Amino acid sequence: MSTPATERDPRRGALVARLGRFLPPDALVTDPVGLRAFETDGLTMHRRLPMVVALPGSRDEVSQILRVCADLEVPVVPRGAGTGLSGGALPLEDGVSLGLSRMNRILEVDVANRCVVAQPGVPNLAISEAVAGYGLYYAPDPSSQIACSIGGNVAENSGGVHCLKYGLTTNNLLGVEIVLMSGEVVRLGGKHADAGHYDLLGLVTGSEGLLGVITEVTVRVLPRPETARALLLGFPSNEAAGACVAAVIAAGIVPAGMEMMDRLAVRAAEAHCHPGYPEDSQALLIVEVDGPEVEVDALVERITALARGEGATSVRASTSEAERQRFWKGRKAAFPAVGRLSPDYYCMDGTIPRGRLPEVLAKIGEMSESCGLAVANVFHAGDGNLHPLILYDASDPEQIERAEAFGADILRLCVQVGGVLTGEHGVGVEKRDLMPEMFSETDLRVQQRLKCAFDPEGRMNPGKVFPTLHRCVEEGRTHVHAGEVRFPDLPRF
Amino acid sequence: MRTLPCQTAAEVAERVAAAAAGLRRLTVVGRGSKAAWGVPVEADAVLDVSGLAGVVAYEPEELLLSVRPGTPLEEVQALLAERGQQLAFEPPDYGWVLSRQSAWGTIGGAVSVNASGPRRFRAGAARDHLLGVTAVSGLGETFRAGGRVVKNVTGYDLPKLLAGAFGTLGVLVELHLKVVPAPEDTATLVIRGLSDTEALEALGEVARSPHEATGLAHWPDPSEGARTVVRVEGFTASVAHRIGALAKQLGGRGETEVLDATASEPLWAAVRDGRPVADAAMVWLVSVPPTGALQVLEGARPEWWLLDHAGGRVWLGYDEARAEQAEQVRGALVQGGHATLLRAPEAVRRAVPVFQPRPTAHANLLRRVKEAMDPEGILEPGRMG
Repeated sequence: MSTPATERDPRRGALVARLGRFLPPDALVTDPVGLRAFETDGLTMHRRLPMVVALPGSRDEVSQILRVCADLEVPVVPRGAGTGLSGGALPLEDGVSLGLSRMNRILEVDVANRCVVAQPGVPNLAISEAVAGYGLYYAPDPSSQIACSIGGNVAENSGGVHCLKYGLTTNNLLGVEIVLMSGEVVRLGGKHADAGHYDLLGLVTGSEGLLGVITEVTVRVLPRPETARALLLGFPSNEAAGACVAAVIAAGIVPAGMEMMDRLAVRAAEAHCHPGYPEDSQALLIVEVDGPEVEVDALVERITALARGEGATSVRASTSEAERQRFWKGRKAAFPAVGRLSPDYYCMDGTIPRGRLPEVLAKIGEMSESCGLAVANVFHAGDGNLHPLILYDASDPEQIERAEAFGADILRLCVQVGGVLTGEHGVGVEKRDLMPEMFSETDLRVQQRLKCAFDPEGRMNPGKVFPTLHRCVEEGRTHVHAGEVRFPDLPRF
Repeated sequence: MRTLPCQTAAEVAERVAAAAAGLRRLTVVGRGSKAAWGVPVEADAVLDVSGLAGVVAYEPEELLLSVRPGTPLEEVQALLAERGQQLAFEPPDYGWVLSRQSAWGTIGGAVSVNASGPRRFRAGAARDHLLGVTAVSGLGETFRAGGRVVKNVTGYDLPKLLAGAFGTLGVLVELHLKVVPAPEDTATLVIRGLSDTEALEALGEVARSPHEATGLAHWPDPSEGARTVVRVEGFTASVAHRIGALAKQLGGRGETEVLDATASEPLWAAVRDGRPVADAAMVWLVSVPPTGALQVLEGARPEWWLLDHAGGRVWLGYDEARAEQAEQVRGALVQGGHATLLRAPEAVRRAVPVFQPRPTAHANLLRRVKEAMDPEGILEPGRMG
């Protein structure tokens, strides 16, 4: 048997020895079996073994690891819970995967200032649980919230069903502590609002592990709304459902969530967990409103009237918390439900202007027919964030290729109608080569110059987000622009 | 100083590129309403973008406004109001504090200082509503960042970086803003005679309650006594319900009164614009954890003050502008936060750091970010210290 590539790197011995001086043995993974657990994240079609995995237990250990890596010129891939869907934590064969899972303590619940200070490995849901007794909660709720980490949420600027009303991670974040590739520690924000200078907190949020390693997070928590109700609205067509979404927004209503599922997704959910969805509908909307009871009841009536005006064939409003949960059950299980229809599915994440919804769904349907792969659509309709699920069989390499090409075509379509490549999952390796569809060379060059301000040697998560490597040259005032090098060794599609 | 008027984005790019090539320093001006905010700038020319104005596209059903930066803020607000919408971040009329009279600036100016009003703790600041931009870097490169949709994580969030950069990182040439439905109704609960401590306690309770207040302020008024004010906005029935519940909850604390939407409007405009401190010779804008507000008042000893955001924002006013006050104000940030010098004579703004000084690693990072966006250092040199 030949030696794995990860063990051939001449720097490996020195790296392991130097990291071993300060990391406990269980915080350093070097054997092929142990490394296997880190070979992929939520984008499982890409796998690669890292050279070494380091699992620091403190900010100081993170800083020491980065100093060693900088010294040995070894790249670093930060990793939270590994639930990301764009391959942002895909390892490098010649790199260290830096896992933050051991830094998993909530450091402070500050009720008076309505915030929580947590280490990066704390799961998203644990924050809401920590403040539930005070009637507070953390609003961003990605569907993986039981598992995904708050540090990963910051790195990806994660969304969720309720970000229509309450915003993404970036709108609910007060501060972070980051460690730069140089090992320097910088605190951005705190328990107060606004940067008071350049908004580096805003820049770091959603930077996909390219600018620094997040070692502490402060989020604001909100009072839990008095009550919440959900409506289940069935429509005879995608157009009618899309028109209802527009009508709700036009009426001045910003629901807590407004989700859409197409016929295939509805049927899959119904077969999977029997939430009681109207199976004769071509499109289903779940609209949730929250707030004081008097407001919620009035909005339920208004939305009911709007839905009927747009030709809804089925209208039900939850009258109990149990019923509200049941309405959501099918939506929350939509991905695994669709997973039962097919050996594998590939989840896309473009955002489009709300008004283009029917047209885009129709085009996706045509593309699906011509490429021979079925697609189920689950959609954050309120903010235009599409999640088409492409059904394919990963045991057939030709189908993988077709699924990836179909996915790329969907994202191109999103950009063409005025939307973007990714609404909440990130660019990672998945959409890296599609970046030029949305950004010009100049746009990307400016972004990469900012990368240089944080990481001049390009050692933090290289190969993610940007299709070409950018060299940070500092020669007097003739900066940077020259010398863009392709990555010949990285997979692309 | 020479003025370089710009009517188009291409002209901005051309003029900035020429300035970069000739190492000529530029100060960027819309209506000049915030010229007295920040460190005085030494520039060779004024890039006047007031002519780069007008709405590019307003799509009420998409909650989206695309607008050129030189567009007057009043025009933007009137346009949105026609369709029952608004800018949720409630940009203040900083003229009251900066020049003792109303001086609405431009939308580009409001974004460039990351403006926000009393609703900040709930709805965010300009940075939270800037979906995308087209801007010109200090090298004259025209670049786009962000997008025109509310949910977008494609590439770095440069709109956030440009919001609040006072024009030092790039010249904005087009903005895509998220707009929101304006509330159907507004009401305000006024409580009189509370001490600062009592007021902060009451406001904190409301902030933690599910009544969704969108304004939580307190200030001493020499003629009328201290006022503590709580605002609720939304659908009429909901506003009535919540203001009733709040009046009941806080009724025992002091003499209370409920104001309707019409009476609420000028009151919250005054809070938004910092009117209670506007006559002071020196004004600071302080951001702290809400529980740090009392320590700010105790340590900074202002003659005038206004507590907003349940204590998270503190406006401090002094009758005399003395450079030594900078240390006193910043020394009072016991629980962290930052203090920005908003109003002071030019000599004082040269003598003290206008923006909060940062630890070395952070300061170096800020400098490198500036160099990345403006390698020649020609945009608003020194304005942010």
